[in-house]
Parts: sequence; structure tokens; C-alpha cells
Amino acid sequence: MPRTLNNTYIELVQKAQYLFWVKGFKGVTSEDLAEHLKVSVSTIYNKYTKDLLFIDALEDYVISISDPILTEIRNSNKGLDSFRDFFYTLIDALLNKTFPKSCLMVNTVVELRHEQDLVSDVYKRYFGNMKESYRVVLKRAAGLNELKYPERIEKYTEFLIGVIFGLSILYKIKTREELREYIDEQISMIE
Amino acid sequence: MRYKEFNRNSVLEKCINLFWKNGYRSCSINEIVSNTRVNRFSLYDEFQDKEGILFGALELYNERYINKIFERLNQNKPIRNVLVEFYMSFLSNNNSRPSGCFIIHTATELADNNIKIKKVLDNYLSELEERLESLLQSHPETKSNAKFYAKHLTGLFCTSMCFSVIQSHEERLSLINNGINVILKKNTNYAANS
Repeated sequence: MPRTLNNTYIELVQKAQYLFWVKGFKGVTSEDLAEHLKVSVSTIYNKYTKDLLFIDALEDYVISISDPILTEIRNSNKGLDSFRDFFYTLIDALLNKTFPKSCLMVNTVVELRHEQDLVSDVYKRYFGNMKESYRVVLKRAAGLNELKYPERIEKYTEFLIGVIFGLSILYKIKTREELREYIDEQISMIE
Repeated sequence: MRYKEFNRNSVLEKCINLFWKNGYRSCSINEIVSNTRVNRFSLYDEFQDKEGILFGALELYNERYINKIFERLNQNKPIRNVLVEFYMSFLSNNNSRPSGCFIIHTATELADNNIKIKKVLDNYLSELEERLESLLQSHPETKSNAKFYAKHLTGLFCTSMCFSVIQSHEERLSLINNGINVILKKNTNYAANS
């Protein structure tokens, strides 16, 4: 169901995104949104709705944040080091609070596990692109003779998809050095 | 004393489910009152505040459920079976609880801004890592690299407790089995069999 978005709306969505990121979907009321976006509560109820603002905020996360980083590792000429770059970037975003609170997608997966229908299209796109990008990088790594077992590419793809979830918990209690070491070791398992 | 003890735990049981299902922040005191049928005054008297209820709930969860699940790590079975059973015991659908782990779930929501929750998470994962390490120590095929494996199996635990909540039973098993395979293969004879 495509909706046409104008600039003002995208600004609203990005403001709403910050609020959802910090407080979660359920922790934000329509009243909070109205106050944060400086519009009336009835505008939120009748025009935007919390559900649609949330879906668009999540979609914006995929379009503006996750897809560009994935495109970058896909188009790079490095092998396994692309994963190192990718996960190091993620660690920095988590620790420097470029990401206001953990990864928005991981938060959403955990929070809305029983309301998946609301966000299933966004998940499909997010995980689909991630999987495909990881696969491309692994194939390139195999071409560079970096994989001892190139026949395990699918297994490694599945393994690496999970890393983002583990990191989203571990960053809360580990230092940057510990997290980098963790990633180095994870990559060493597929070398 | 006995009566109150029973009462306290049954209140906390309901709160575990409530916080787990709806999240801590979005759960109001009114909801807690109507779900537990204990009035606000008595709740505050017993737990001081909403956060006090949360810590009571986390403690009870740990005592009643986690300790029991951790005991399973002492089973005398092949290591892969022990591990898969351990992870999956958090993820079965056939009980009344949500799948996943209440502590990880709460930490996802609150550990960034609440230092006490952060500490709960830290202690919890450290204990898990220690228990995993002693399990791995006791098996000849993982003994030499127990520390390394324990660290990454703890990482796999974090991954599966978050990711698996939206997965089917088959996807969960696959994530866990595949994770164990990738982690344990390094520098062990175990790799030859997998």
C-alpha cells in the first residue's frame, strides 16, 4: 500500500522515529507523539495514526540507515574485512549513541513479537537485503580464498544474520575493545 | 508470614507476565492493580514503587525458572544435546510463558538507561558464561578451548533470545544448531564430525 510522502511528512516521521527508538512502540502514546511533533492529538488520531507513523519510521530506518551500509559492503572489494568494517561501524553507532538506543529493528523484533503483522513487510525487506548482501560478501571472500569451507556459505550467512542481535545485547555491558575482539573472533570462525 | 510469602510471589508471577507481554514502561500501576487484584497502597507498601515490583519479578524469575534451566547444563549427555536443549528450553511454545528470556527482554528495554538493570544483565550473562565454561571443561572435545567457546555460546544465547522470538520452531532449531556448529568447529576434532 504505497503512500505518497512529502518532505514535511518525512521530517515528522524522523522525529517520531527518535521517540519510538528510545521508548519503543508501546511506550509511546498518541499524546506523546502530538507533543513531540508539535501537532494536535486529533491530527495524530485522524491524519497520521501512531501505527502508520511507526511503520514509516521503521521503513525510514531501513531506507536511510541499514540499506546504505549494506550497499557499501556489497560494493566494496574486500572479503571478510567488509564484515569487520560493517560490525565495527555498528559497534560505534551503538556506543556513541548515533543510534539513540540499540538497533531499532532489533528492539522492534523483541517488542512486537506478537504483533508481527504490523511490520512483516519491513522485516522481509530488511532481512532479505541483509541476507543477500552477506551472501555476496561471502562469495567474494571465497573468491579471494579466505574461506576454508566455501561450501558452507549458506550456513555462514545464517550465522552472521544473528550477529546483529547478539551485539545489540552485548554492547550494553561490554567495552568497545571487547566487542571488537568478539567480532574478530566471530569472523575467525568462518575463515 | 507464610500467607504473605505466597501472596507476594503470586503477585510477582502476574507481574512477570505483564511486564514481559506489554513491556515495563507501557504497563501502568492501574494495570498492575487490576491484574493482581492488590490495591495500590499494599503494592507500594510491599515493593516501594513500580521499579521495586520489577526487581522483585526479576528475582523471582531467576529463582524459579533460570536456576532450574541452568541445572540442565549438568546433564550427562553429549555436549551438543545439552546445549541445544538448554537454548530450546527458553523457546518452547508449550507453556504459559512467552518464549525467550524475561531478563534479556527487560534488558533490551531498560538496560541503556537503568544502571541496576544493566547490572542484572551483566551478572546474569557472567553466570551463564561461567556455567557454560565449566560444562565445556568437562567434555574432552571442548576442554582445550572452553573459555573461547563459552564466550561465543553466550553470544549465541543473546542472539537467539532476541531473534528467535519471531522465528518458527524449525528456524529456532536451525539458528541454534548452526550457531553451535560454527562456534565449536574451530580447532577441535568436533569439526570432523559436523
